[in-house]
Amino acid sequence: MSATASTPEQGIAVAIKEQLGNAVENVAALDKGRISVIARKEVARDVAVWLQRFGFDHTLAVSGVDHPWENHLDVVYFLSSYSHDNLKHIVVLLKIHLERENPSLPSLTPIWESANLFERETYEMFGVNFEGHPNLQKLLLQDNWDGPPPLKKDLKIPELA
Amino acid sequence: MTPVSAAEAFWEGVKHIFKRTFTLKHPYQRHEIPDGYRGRHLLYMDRCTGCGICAWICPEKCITMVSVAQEKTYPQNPQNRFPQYWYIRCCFCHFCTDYCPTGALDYTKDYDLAEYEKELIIWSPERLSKVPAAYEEYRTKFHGWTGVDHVPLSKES
Amino acid sequence: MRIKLKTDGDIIVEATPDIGYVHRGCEKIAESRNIIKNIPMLERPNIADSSHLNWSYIAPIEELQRVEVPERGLHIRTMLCEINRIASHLYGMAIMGGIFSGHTTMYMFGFGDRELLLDLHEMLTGARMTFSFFVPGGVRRDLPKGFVEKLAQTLDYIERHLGAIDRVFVSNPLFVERARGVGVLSKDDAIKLGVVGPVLRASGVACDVRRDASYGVYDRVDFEIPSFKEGDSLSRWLVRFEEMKQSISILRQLMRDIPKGPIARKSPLVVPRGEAIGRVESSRGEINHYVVGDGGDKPFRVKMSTGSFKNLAALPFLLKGVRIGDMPIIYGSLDYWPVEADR
Repeated sequence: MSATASTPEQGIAVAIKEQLGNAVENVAALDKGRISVIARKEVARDVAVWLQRFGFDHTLAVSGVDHPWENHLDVVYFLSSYSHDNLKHIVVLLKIHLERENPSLPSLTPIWESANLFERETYEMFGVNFEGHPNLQKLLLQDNWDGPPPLKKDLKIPELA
Repeated sequence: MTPVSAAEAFWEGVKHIFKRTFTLKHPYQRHEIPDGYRGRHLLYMDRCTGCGICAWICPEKCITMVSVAQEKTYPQNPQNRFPQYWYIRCCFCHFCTDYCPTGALDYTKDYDLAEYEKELIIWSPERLSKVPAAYEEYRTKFHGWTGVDHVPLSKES
Repeated sequence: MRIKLKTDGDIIVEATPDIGYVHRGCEKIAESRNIIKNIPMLERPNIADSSHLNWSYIAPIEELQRVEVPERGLHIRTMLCEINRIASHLYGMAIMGGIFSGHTTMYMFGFGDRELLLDLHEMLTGARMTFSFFVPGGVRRDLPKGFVEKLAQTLDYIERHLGAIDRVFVSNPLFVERARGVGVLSKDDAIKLGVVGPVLRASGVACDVRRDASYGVYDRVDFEIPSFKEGDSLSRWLVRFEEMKQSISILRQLMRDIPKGPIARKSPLVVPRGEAIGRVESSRGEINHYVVGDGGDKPFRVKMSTGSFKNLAALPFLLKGVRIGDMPIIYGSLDYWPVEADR
């Protein structure tokens, strides 16, 4: 940890950047205990293994965010820690940029079992294919849903008239 | 389970013979409703200017602005627009009451809004401006270990 | 929701929960309404404990707008959330200790006491259940006259009645022997599955967002976090029982000195560009909201992650290898709220 870090999250952000180097594109410490890590799709699994060994042992959520005007679709993992007292107040946002047509990503369920149901929901709502997921099926939508993934911005719903 | 704890549990049940009853015979005895309860709305037609902010802020889009038959002229409302409520959709959040700039909407204690016909659920502005009838209210009273019961407000002090 | 069971005689071999029957698309609808119009819709996934959903949605918006809630507003928010927590725990304990155990005594105890707390809600906010009381910048109404006295009387009554519940249920083998040793979740499994709330604290992990990442005025009150080591269904029931006592103690401390001042600050009707997270501890677990803004008055993306959805991972794990007769007790001890999980 660098001696010039003023807050704990800045110290952790510096440690992440030193260890992972050019595997991650950007590490930033936002205020109120949030750290944002942007990683490329190919190294997502290695970054996840390193973060788990550092102490972040469960996911709070997995979400997708669709940016049609910037032409990419993000998958964000929210991580926190139960076992390490100095990390309990920190939330790490692990963001991975994907393309909007047929996005796919190696599943991080073997590393964090708590991401299982969240990845299933992201699969059916955004169409992201998680390779290696043990049970990738619909979770919330009805079985005969044949439309496009609902939460992408292509599907427009009318405002309640 | 020890005999002592069994006796304690049994004694808890026996104590209920001496406790007061909590039940109210609704609708003959109605519970006290505090001021500011979020029931149906009361419209002051002398204050409404027809701006339509209530219709814009409503989350469920249940307010439409309609014109009323002109029995009396309202000089502050030149376009003759008043809100009409569709209570099937209303979630009683009362953002309309809080956002109204002239204070033309108010809270009431009226919550019995069920009807037998669908058309009667749409409340016209004239119907909204009628003040609801008052009724006798019962207040909760705490009595120590004998429990809780209700006393009518008219008999209290 | 429904649970598909594969059984070998009386023993469950595999359990698959099938959820999604009350999915309403809250996250998609939230992108088409402005931030104030979203408040009643986003608090309705859990009607018994709606103030926490409301706070967790408002907190990231205030963070993006850089609006600070005044002291009195934070105090009133914390008081309402704690009253709501007691009411929601009475609901959860009534369902598990009463309905799923086969009798109705605990159900009547829980729902009867809850009526007094709903009267308190009605006095403060105007509504009994889903209040829509928190707006960006503060709260909508001030404390009415006579509220603190009525709150003190109600807390005395509830504390005395909790003693009665202790004598009738916690030492009664009719209930205890059904729940002790049933559905054991070890500490490592709890951390691996990522469960939250009382399910986590009953397995030996004493984590609570009110202590780890304080919000509101929780850093100024003294309270303990009850946790047990056994991790069975009885511990999950007892964690809720002890948490109610802690909530009564927090409310008594908050009632003593309420700061004076405004209850809300002005906040603009825009969500500035950026992203923020809200973290709140509700009665069923931790709730997170992730709000992405693009400068307009409608949020660009709202992601809700609720306690019941996170605890769902434990259900198929716990039901493997138990008898069918133990299934209602295990399901009731997780305190699963289907609408909160499906949104």
